[in-house]
Amino acid sequence: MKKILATLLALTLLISMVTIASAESPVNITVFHYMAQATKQAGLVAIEEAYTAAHPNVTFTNIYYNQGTDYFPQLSTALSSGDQPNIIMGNPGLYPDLVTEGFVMDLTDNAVIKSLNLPHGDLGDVSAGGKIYGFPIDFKTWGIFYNKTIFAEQGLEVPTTLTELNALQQKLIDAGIDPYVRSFGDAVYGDIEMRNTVWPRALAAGNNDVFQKLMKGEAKFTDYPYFAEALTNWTARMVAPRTDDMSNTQDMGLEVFAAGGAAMRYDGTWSIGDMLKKNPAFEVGFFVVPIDDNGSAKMNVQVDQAFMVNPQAENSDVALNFMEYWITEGVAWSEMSQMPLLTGVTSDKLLPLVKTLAEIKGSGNIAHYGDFTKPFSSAFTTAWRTELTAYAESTLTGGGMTIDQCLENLQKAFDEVIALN
Amino acid sequence: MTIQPPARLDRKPTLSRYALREHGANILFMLPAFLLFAYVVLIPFLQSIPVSFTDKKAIFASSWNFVGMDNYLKLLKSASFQDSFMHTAQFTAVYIVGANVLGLSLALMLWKTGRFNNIVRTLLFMPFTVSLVASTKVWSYVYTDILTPLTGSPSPLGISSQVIYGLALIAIWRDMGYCMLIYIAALQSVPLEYYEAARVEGANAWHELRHITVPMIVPAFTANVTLLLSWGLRCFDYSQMVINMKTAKTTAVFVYEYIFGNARAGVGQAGAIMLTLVLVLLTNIVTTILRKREVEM
Repeated sequence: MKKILATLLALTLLISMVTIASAESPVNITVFHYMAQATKQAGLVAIEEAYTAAHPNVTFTNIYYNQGTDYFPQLSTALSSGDQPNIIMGNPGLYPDLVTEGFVMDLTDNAVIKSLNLPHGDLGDVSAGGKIYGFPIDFKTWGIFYNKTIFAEQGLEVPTTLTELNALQQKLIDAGIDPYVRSFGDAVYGDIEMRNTVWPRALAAGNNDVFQKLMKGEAKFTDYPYFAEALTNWTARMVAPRTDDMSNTQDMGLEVFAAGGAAMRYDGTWSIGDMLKKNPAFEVGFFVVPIDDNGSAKMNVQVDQAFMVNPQAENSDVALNFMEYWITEGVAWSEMSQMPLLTGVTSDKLLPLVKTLAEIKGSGNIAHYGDFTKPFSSAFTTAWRTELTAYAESTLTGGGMTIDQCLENLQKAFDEVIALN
Repeated sequence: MTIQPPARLDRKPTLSRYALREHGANILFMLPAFLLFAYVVLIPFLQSIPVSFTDKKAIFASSWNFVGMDNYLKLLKSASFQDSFMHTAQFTAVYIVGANVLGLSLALMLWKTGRFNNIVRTLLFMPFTVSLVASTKVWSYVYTDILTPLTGSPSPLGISSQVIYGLALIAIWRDMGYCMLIYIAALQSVPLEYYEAARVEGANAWHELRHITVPMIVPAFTANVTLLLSWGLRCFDYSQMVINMKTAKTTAVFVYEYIFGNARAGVGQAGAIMLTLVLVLLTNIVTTILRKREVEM
């Protein structure tokens, strides 16, 4: 009897020890991301700290790489070497090999994502082949940020048509003020200058598969008139070039803009936090860029922060739980990063501008990247951006590249990527 | 009648005990470094060769197909791959000439040992200790915040036709101090008696430079040119810092982009092997030519 009791006692102790160990055993979650902005990085830490407060055994390691140069290469190396990150920033359309090789969890039946009732576009941005592979957190858009003080001093109104925008630019030039400070030292800027025209036009024309067809070589840029239109609109904005247009990185451009060096800046909402960090007293406004005189412009929307969970990493259940927490309780993130949440959850600490963006998105009068059948993959994105940067340089420095030549160069670059596939 | 081969060829090469001991010691000294080199460079390189004959996509892909020479043929036809070679060649040419000319000029001015010369040499060598990425970052500010206000011209790093030269200038600034030190070491090893004898014969400074100094420091040329040729052809970091400029894309960046960024490991690996072959071939040609000109002291 004593033996049985002793054995039972030992077993009970053992089980309780294992339970305690598993409940409190430390878990470290590795987050691979490409958030360059300091405010976003602070936001990531804020949401992680909020999670750790509720789950003290969970800590985080954040690994940042620049998306344009190092992110995917470093991620690939980590995955190949078996050094598996738990959470991978990005959307599956941009990195399709992650899906093919089983490095991202299928979230199609995730109850938390389902319960949010997100619109098609939001889920489209984190889907591939009809399945959901990512948690969409917030969204980004781009357009013209303007210096309210300069606008007030010059008696300028926010333009609602292309003609008004062109006139406004001329007024600024006549007043001796640089209309824009640009940052073509970062390749993303040529890309976003084009999107405002291309996306609404393509979606309105029912060309939801335009990017897919271009990548497959089934269509050419000249088959779609809105690429030439987008280049025309962009060219009209490339007035009064500055000597730093081509060499400015995002940060350098923001520095000049926040210091009042130019009246406007074509940028993405990801820069809001850093813009105000550089100059907290900066009075900044935003408007969607008019693409014609008929009010056809629509605010572009693309899921910004999206994260995939790696099922091959240890503690993927904890990583999944953290992402479910972030997508539902993400206010801490939003307040710090000033990024509008897709769930529509808002806070008093958000800037009025950020709230306005969320309201416009809520109205549905938007052009959503997630409504396209496929986004440009990494190789095509590089080709697209490189050629657009070359066009910007030619236009701003008097190189004389025509719109037709630019389209021809884009086509050649895409054909080359297709040939090397 | 049979023709007898020369007697020397008849003999089997044999190593004397002394030579064996000597070589054995050399090999033993070399072994740790060689093993490390083999582990981190040679073996991975050899392992990666088969990948260039496959259609492997991402480096973490678990399956792929054998495609023979397809990747090599595609690259030979690819305009962007050819362009990347051209950019690499431009960069390397300017870099080698610039760093060597400036390095040699500085060495000729500073080769004598003295407190002032030592300080200046240290200052000139210091950029070599700065990382390539940091050098490019610093120079991007030098171009935009110093040169642009002074000249009114945009930074060369933002101009397609100038970007390679802008990058080469950064590389020259960083490495000329290194070249200078190699030249100084060579200059200091030239016996002074040669100059004294030349002066007795009526030689002037130009004659001394042309007929004594330059021939005597050819080994330093060989070292500097070979090293810089190798560094130039493998140029990656500088180019990667201005990745948005297609005229700055070097072959190493092209390879990196295809292996990793574009998830076309097979194509990228084929490019890497082609680059390696070119590098080995050119380095050998240059070394052979320069070695022939070296003077035994």
